[in-house]
Amino acid sequence: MGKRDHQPSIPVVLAFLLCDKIVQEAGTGKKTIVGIFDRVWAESFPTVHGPFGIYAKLADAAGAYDLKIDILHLESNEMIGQGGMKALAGDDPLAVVDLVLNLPGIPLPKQGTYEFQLSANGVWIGRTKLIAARKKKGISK
Amino acid sequence: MIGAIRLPDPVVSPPGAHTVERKDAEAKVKAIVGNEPVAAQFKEISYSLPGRVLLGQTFSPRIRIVKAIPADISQEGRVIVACWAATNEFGSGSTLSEALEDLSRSIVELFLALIDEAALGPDLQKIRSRLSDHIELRG
Repeated sequence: MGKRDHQPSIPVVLAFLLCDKIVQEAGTGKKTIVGIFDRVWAESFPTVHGPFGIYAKLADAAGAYDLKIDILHLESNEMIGQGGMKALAGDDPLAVVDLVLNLPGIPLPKQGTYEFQLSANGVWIGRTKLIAARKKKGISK
Repeated sequence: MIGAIRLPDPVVSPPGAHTVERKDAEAKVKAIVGNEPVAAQFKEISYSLPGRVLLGQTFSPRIRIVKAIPADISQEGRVIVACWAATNEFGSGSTLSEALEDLSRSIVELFLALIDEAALGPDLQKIRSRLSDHIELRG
């Protein structure tokens, strides 16, 4: 057995989504992802985005992980949020785990592209983007 | 025997967009976090481009990373470069993530090109060996 066998495997990100909210069914653990979006329109900036959810599905995860999400404004390279959580994925490398995070809101100081970067035990494993732009005439939702 | 079903055609549509009604959003946030503005929930976090990132994703269904790849990060003007010095592979892009994704594509291409170890000369065998410490074929 090699050295690598003692380390948690590196998870593969099968899905990484931003949405209005994630509802988890108590009995079955099934998740309902409500209102997937990747763009935000606002009348002006800075603004505040209300409650939203982050959902990720990870495969090849076996062991204990420190998961971290960094939220960056790409044009200015400013970090606007950071969060972390611990996850225990069990011993089966073929199992998948769901990461569910319902947040109260987030400040969007500028228009532009925001990136949510996901890392596990300090290893970069994926990202998703959110584009924030000024609301155009005629767009209601 | 049970026959296969024909799936309906998938519906492909643009991703969703959300409109922030500013006063409404602030009211919702205040209701959830109390009277503190949501910005108070976030600490001031200083950020600078990291000098090294451990890469753990290849974006190839054929390849699995078994040990994170150390990517040295540098910036040349507006271009960000991610380099894995041990194999001399690099990727570039306008953001860190683009550079990492470009690097991972280069690594996958190299790994697949060097898959027939017996046909390689000594130098390429060394590179192949370094690659095999970090990535492997699935299945």
